[in-house]
Amino acid sequence: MQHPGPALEPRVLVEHSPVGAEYRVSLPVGIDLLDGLSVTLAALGIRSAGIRLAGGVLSRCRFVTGIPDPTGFRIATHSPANDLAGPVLIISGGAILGVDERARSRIHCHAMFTGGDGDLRSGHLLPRSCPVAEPGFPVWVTPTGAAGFESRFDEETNFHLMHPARTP
Amino acid sequence: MTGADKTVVEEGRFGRVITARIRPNVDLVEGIEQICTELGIVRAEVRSAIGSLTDAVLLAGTSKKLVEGAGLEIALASGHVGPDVDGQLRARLFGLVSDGDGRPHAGEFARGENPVFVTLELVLQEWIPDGPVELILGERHG
Repeated sequence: MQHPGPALEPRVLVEHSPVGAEYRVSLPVGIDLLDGLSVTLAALGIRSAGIRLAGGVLSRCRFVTGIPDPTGFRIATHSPANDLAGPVLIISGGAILGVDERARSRIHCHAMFTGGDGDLRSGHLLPRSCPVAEPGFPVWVTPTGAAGFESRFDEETNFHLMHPARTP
Repeated sequence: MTGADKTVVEEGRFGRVITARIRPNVDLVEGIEQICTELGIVRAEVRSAIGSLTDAVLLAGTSKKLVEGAGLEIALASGHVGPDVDGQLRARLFGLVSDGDGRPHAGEFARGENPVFVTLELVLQEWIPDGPVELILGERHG
């Protein structure tokens, strides 16, 4: 698959950090899943993490999937947003928490879920559009310590993407 | 009783946390094996894996299913790294990809046949067993 920019090296980027604490976060009703996670973890001083959604219910959700980029700027882009009426049952999912170049939290989340019609779907969840519907939505968090994630522009793919980065 | 007949319980602890990005056209499974080899990690668990594949080849039982992209979002992935029966480091990844219509397809990612499309963002964690403890008929034998 040929991307618009040059193939960059190394092809696999890695950082590592000593083991640290794990967290189980329970989000309350009404809070947005992704924003709520970012704010909660930032308050704990956690800016980068691997995250697992353990299942829960949202009152609705907005998500996108991948489609070819008709402009050719990138090899692919996100589809128009899909709005799914609730209750939305999150079967499982994962996310990566990191920061952008201005140290603002960024969260990248993919999940598998059913909507009110019961059909199984999956996709990339969007922030500010996935409110928790039942109390105690559980999320497991593995902070990555000094081996963080930083979102920066990638000249190979023309996307802003998470990259491993040493953090102070 | 062969080794495969025994329940093996490992007492141990988690070690290093690894953050990684795998760039386009690198195989998902082989990329994770490369990461562990470079860091001298013998066993690891996938903590989170988010990204996309060009196409996906998924194994389930005796079936081998090609899911054509271009661009399949990895919606869920779990898995582990460890030595196979010959002592070779191997990653086994299980998960689900969504196609452009949001339809899910699930299975085990076939080694060497799942090239990353745009990116794979990954958190792995090293697993360090203190030593195997076998449980046979409910009794502990060190």
